[in-house]
Amino acid sequence: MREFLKKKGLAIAAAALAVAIILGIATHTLGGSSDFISNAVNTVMRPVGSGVAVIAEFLEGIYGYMFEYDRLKTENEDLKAKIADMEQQIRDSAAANEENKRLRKLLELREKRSDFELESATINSWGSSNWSSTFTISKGSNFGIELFDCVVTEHGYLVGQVIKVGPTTATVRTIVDTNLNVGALIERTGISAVASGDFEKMREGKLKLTFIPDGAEILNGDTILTSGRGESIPKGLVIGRVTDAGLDPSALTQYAVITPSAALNELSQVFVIKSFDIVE
Amino acid sequence: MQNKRFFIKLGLHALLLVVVYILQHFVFSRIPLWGVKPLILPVAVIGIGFFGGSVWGGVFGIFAGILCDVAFVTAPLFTIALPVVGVGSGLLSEYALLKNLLSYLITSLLGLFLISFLQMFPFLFFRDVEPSILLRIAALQTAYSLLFVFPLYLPVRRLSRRRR
Repeated sequence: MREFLKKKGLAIAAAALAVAIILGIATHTLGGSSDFISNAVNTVMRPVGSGVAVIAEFLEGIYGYMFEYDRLKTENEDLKAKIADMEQQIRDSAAANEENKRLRKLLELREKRSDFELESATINSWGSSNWSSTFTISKGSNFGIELFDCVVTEHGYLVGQVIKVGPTTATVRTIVDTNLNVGALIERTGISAVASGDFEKMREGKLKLTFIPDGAEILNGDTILTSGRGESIPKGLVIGRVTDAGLDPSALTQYAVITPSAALNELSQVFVIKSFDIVE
Repeated sequence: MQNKRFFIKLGLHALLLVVVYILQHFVFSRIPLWGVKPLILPVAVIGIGFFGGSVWGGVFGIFAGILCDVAFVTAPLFTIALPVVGVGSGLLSEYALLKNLLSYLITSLLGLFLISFLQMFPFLFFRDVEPSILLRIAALQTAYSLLFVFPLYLPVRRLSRRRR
């Protein structure tokens, strides 16, 4: 071998140098495109490279499973907790938005009726009787709520009247309850009547307009307001709209069914009017 | 020892009262069936009276009646009616009926209809309400409430079998 290198070494080195120079010139001349040798090498090595990559991936997978599993599990739990937090924030934000809307409406009501002293309360539970319509609110005499105080929505729609007060809770009878009679006015004509709960209508969430004077004109869609008779319910609160007006089967008296403006089934927060100016 | 057993029995009755009240007022009041809500406390009173005797039925009835009147704002209707129903169901089991599920069901039917009649009394006689509407509500309320005889049968029977 030594003899061979002594004899031919110089020639081999010169040939290698020549090939290197030719390859260098070719690569430079082709401007980035692969030369023949590179192509050949790459073609031959491609399946090998692919095989190695597959094996490497497989081994990385095993490594990941063995050593990364716990970290990923922890990360997954952290992410789940973060998502739950964010969902809670979204829910809180939605609830806050709803309350914000109610309070904005309430602000409008306060501006319109500056004489009202209002107390906000949430509904704790609805009455479980089939014969009445009541609910319990979260505030009572500790917050200045008194018997027969009037209860409204943020829009100023009449909801009912306080019929029982404890230190921390109060029971409200709604306007559709058969035991509640409220002095009423037909807004369009100014005619007085009485809005009363009716057993049959109570189950539909409605009430009746009674004691309508002879000849009074009532049309579907008429707005019914409180007349302010008595000292417990202020004048001008919206009770609801007439949805069915006509004559009794006897054709002697008029009747009207009122659909309350306050969506009683959807209430969650109400406002108790603790005091107001009585307009004569 | 006898006193201890008595107080344990009393405590279990109180627990039953509270659980049934919560179920009636907070849970099933949100689950109306045929448009009505059930009366569960009276069914429990009838059960205690029927299986435990008229004395237990009367005492349990007083407390259940007070709770019902608080919930319905109907004082003193239930405070009077439920002890009567409790004592009555006790007397029925002591003198007339066998202590089994069918008899409990029949007694509950009678008791619940009596209570429904008392509830519709003011509407029937002092207000201009169609009797057929009132009877329909009374019948539906009784039917829905009767369903609670089945889940209450075992607890009230076991509770009443405890020695003093």
